[in-house]
Amino acid sequence: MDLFLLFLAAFLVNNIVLLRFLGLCPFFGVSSKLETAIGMSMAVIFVMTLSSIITWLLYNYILVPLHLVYLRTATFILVIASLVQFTELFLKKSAPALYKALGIFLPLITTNCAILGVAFLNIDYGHSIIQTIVYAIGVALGFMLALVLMAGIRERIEFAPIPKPFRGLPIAFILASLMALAFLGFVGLFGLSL
Amino acid sequence: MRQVLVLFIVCVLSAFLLSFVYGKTAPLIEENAKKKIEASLKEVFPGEVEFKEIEPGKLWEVYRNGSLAGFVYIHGERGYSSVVRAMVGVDLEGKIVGMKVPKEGLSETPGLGMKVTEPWFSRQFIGKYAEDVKLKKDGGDLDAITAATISSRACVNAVKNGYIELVKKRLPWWMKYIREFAKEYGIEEVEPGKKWKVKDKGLLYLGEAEGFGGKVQVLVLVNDKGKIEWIHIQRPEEGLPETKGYGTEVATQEYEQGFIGKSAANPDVDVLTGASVTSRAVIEAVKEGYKGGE
Amino acid sequence: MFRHFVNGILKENPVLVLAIGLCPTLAVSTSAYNALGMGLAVIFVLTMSNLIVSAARKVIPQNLRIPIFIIIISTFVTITDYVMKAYLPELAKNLGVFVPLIVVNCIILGRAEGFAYKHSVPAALLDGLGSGIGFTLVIFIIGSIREILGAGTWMSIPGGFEGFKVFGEGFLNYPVLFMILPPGGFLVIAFLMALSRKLTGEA
Repeated sequence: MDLFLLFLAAFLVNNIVLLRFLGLCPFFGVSSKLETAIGMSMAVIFVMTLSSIITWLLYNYILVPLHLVYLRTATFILVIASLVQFTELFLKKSAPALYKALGIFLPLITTNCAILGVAFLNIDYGHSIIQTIVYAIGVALGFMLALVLMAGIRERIEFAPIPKPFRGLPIAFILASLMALAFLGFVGLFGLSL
Repeated sequence: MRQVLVLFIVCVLSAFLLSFVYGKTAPLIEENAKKKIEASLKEVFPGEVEFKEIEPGKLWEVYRNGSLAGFVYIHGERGYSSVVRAMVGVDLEGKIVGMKVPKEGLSETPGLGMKVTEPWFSRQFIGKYAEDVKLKKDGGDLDAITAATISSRACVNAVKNGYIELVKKRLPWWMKYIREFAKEYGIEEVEPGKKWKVKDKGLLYLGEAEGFGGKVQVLVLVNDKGKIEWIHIQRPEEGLPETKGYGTEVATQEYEQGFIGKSAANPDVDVLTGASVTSRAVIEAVKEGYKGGE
Repeated sequence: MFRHFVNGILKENPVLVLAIGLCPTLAVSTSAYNALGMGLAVIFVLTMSNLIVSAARKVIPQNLRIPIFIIIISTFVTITDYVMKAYLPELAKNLGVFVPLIVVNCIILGRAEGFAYKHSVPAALLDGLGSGIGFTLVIFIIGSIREILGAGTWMSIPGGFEGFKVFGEGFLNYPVLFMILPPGGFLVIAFLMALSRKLTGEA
């Protein structure tokens, strides 16, 4: 039950993009088309889960016992960058179609602050390895949810008469504002809070 | 090859720089954290006191003027939808001097269970014995939060169980006698950890003197004529540091009998053969504690 | 030369024009003080990293440049993190996980890769300062707006100054909470972006 609540909190109540402000750059950069949104989300789910596990192991079994906690930031980001490189190479070889579909988004994931953010949060919240996995998957799916919803709306809104200064990004931000407002409604679900 | 060398040099430089900065800032950061915790502890045990951490995050000893004055403990019990943690300050009698429920990590029903953090709820606990706290509906005298019984009860249990698990076994040996007097007659603290006034009976005090193997303590009740009505000499299992079979023979009911009715200022009691140092220590302790009278 | 400095603030303002560095912008702009703190931290990291990258640009190999940039940036981020925790613990607590997250702030990596690696030290320095100030300016404005409307104070400093009560004491009881919450942040940025477009003549 606790794990389910953890998942729910990560997925909805504390949605990483809309309520915790992580992962915004790709959120606005990639959500103009539904297809690309889905592609990016899949990549994020994969990288986020894997990097959370690896950084958790790195932190708890190497950094802490060796009193090297202050190297946390540097090592985590290097792990993520390496993971992304590795994923790129791996996909290129084994699933070239998928690799092509993801295109530029794969390297972009390195700077997705949500990935590094979640790695840090797992440590700060003192998650166990199981909780880490559940949390990472929950957050990634929450990212996907927000991204897909946003893309869906943005595709439609292209045909609306938007005032010139607002076209493109500003209107997307207004959309995000409304979505965040809606998601705030999830606060209190099963007693979960922000 | 050269490229890897560059990478390596960069890493090494970075590591050096970082460990330097870390060395400079780490002590400051720790001090900041300590100050924060101290501020919190002071909230539940106010006054000119110092805290000593015994069990990190769970138990602290409280010292006033160098002597132990009480404890602060943090303990949690499962509430409605989260763990309700209580931070409690108790004196040496096990009486609550301050209590609060920190908001961090508390996730009870907003507007209901969350009310355990409100001051009126925690204020009720002050003055009660931590071991005996109970809600009115469970036979005690604490008000629960309307429609939030589970959260309230969790808080009460956190206070009680925390006390039993963390503090009770660390209380001084004479505490249980004080509690008994308190229950039977009612007592009033005159000097914390030293003197108590027992209703309609007289003065109860703790006396101490140097024995053979360390400090010997006695608990004495004198009536208002200065005569000893009741005495308890510290037993070996209560911490008496005297020689087994010799000094310990002093800590018996028979020897204690010899004190009843004698004057506390100068008890005319025989020294026990083979345990003269210890007997004299006991007599000294009786006099020491009584010095200054009421 | 000075052009580099001014660019970062107006024409190529990282947040309003390039739409990078968004995460900290929204998360930390709930009060003017927090925004200022974050801004200064970013200025420090950005300037230092630009400086080092530019100074070592002849020595840093092409194909290892990204990891090296990352190491340099994360070194300065960690320094900032620990110094802040030691000397400004309340600010550090408010900024939370976003201080270490400066390392993936696209602004910093973007400027290192896109400018510092290819330009002289003085130019890189000015560019870093400019972009950093541009970022700080925006985040400070957003922070001020959100704090004034959402909390009724301006420049309130935790553990110290309570802040100017811009709309008077009464407002403090019923401020526009919406502004402090996530939706408010998005909304303020949306309008600022539109405004900046209008002003720079892009719209």
